[in-house]
Amino acid sequence: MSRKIIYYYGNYFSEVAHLSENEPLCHRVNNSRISLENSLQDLLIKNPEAQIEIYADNRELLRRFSKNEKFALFTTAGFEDWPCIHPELISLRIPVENIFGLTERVDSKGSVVTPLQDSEVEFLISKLNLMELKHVAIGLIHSNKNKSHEKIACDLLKKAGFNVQVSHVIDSKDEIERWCSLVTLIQQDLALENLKKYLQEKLKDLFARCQVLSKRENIEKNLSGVEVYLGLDGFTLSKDGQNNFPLSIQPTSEVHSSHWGFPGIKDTELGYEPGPILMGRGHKLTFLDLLLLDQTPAHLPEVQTNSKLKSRIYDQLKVFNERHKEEYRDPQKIADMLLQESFQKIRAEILFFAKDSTKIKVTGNISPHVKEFLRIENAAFAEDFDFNRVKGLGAQ
Amino acid sequence: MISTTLRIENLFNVLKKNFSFCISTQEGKVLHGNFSNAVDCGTLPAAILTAHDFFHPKAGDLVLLNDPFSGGTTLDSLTLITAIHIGSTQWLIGGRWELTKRISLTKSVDEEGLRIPPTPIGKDFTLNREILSMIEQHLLCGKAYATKVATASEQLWTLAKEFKSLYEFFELDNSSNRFAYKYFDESETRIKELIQEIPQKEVRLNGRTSEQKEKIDLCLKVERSQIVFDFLGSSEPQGHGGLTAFATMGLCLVSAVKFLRWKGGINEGLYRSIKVMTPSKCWLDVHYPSPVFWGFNCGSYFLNAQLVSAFSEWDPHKARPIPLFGPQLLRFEDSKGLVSGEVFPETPSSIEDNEANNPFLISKIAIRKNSGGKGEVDGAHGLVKEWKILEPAKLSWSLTHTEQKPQGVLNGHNGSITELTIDGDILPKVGTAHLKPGQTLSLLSAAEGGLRKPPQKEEVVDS
Repeated sequence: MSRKIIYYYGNYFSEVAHLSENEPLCHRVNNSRISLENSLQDLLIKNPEAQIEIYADNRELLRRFSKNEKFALFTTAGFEDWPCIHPELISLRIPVENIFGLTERVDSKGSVVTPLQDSEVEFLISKLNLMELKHVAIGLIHSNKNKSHEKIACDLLKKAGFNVQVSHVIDSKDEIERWCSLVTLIQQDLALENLKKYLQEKLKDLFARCQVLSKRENIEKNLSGVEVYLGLDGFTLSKDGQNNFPLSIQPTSEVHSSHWGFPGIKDTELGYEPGPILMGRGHKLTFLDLLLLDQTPAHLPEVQTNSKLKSRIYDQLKVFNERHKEEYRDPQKIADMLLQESFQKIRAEILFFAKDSTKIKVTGNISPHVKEFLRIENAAFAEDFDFNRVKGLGAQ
Repeated sequence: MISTTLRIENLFNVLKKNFSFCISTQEGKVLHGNFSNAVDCGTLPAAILTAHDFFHPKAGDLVLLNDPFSGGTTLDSLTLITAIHIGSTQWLIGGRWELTKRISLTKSVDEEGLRIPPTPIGKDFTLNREILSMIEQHLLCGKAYATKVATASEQLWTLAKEFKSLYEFFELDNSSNRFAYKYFDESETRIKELIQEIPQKEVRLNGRTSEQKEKIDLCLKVERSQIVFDFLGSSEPQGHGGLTAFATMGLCLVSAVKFLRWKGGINEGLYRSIKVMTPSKCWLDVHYPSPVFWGFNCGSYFLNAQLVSAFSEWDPHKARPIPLFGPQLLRFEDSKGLVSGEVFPETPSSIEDNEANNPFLISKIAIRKNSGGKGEVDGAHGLVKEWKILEPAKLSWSLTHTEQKPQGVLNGHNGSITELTIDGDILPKVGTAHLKPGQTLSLLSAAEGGLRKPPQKEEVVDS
């Protein structure tokens, strides 16, 4: 019987679980040190009987595999610039040359004011063929009141072999919300398809034993209550398994000299290339350095604490403390204070997010180190704190 | 002390809202302000102080006002003040909401709408519906006013409760508010250090609005680590009133904070770092019964543009494009008296939202290509918006930059002017018109001037 390997491709780290009848055997891969294809190739060669299920984290998937991918957006004529005007739509970064207006109009009551002509869609199809665009998102004004025009355009495009996403299937209050979800959907489609193509090309025959599966959020929908994930990969919050919201402080948030003339935690994430000082290659101080300064966690072999690295951290803290030298001479005291204040903020964010929810579960491989700082009375800390993402996938 | 400072800052990083709010000590000193515009930065703390002086609100009490001379802005805004007790400390909380703009250029504030001085309208987290319905019956009161006040009051009380929870989560001292005063001192020290780092010089600037003829004579300097805004040569109002002193102060503070690139929150310590001087009867410090519509809607933009110019001259490395002198205001009123408004260039609402229950269909929203002034940094382009009228409606409007092009900075080119047309006929700066079904209304909004001289294109020599 063939064995199954689950490969969870995260933001910075991938988690791999070899499923067997007993406990799964897990290990972690630093995405910046070894590429996805090399890591998979190793696994496939070392385990000739194994089948690999690859789950990609949405954020990383979109970032890496849909970055330069183009798709067309069909909208109501007159509003081609709208995605470049409204702040929420600007953030989607849809190239303006790929937005096409259809002469059609439905009013706020759902009545057709200007009917859509098939010939117009057919003309645009020929244009798309010239531009070699294969994916189309259709977002027309008031399509939630009357979907007929979107359906006509969708049918014609599908018939011509295009991959199409329509906005009327999305439950939303207005076109802004609808178009944001629409574009995310099409980007996910593209990213997943590109990931498949990329792996097929790189792994060649070995790809036959791989299966690329989509978003993790779908799998988490059975969860209830608030989940606080505190892992090397990131700090996130989710309620009832829906959407992950990043906390304002992340493991690789940069520590800098703030406007108070004292070290502070910045909004920017430095990532793991070269990574925190305690991982041996980084030069910039991160939140993770402060957190693991005095610990040598056995389950995080990536982290090494020695006196040389420690003194580098202390030196930076001293430099960043421009104005409170009298009160904070000892850099360890600065690190302790910063940690305490940061966790006060994380705790407030969690409780504020949880509101009336009484069920709070804390997971992730950093979670054992924050128990004393978090002080949330009713929170349940996962006993199996490491590899819980990949093990969760394996249990499905 | 630094730990408390970080804690206060972290608290307000978590507590965010989409309306202007301000939390003050019981003495009226600003602990934190989350302001959607610079005018609120000066007026909202003043409104809290006025409400406190008149009524000493207790936890769950609610005071309503819109009177500009008590800390309100224009009469179509809504200001509510409440209080919250946390241990032995008491905090005053004010919030502000903008209602649909009413366009009125009159001789007195009382003709601009219903002026509401500080009025207690709630106790123990419950609204006094009787007073509200009496206010609503007034002829000059807007439609569905009571409902809007009720929604806003719920938002303010929720904010107060959330503030209390976070205060407790962050374990701030609830036996006294002394920590807040230390935080103000820390902020004041830090901002004054930043002031000492900037070039110590004096900038003089004269400006005049072409349409209203109001004059600004500004001398900007540093005195005893304070930024001094001396408006002593500025003119009196020229027919349509002006700004209140609170609003002028807010605009000056925000421009100074931006210039200094202050990254912290706005609190009492920052207010101590500036000094604003205006001559009596100046258009930057008008008193009852002076009208305020023009001052708050256009004068404030004009003052802001002058302040940006002055700071750009002070330190050209920190120069910014000059903001537009004012928004373009449109107000539609259908046959049933329902009103809706448009303010350019503020964040536009969704098209579908905009069309719901309105007498028009939007036929176009686009970027007004090549309208921003050329420069090293081009000015932001204006917008094009077209409405197709479906039912008879009354349109009122007030425009800026219809004659005067938005200025470029440091040799940047000027931006384009505003144009409003009905079926192609250009409309004047201010007015009202009855729109008929089938007509097309079109607005080309003004665009910013460019920043610095545009780079010269390299000449291509044909070999």
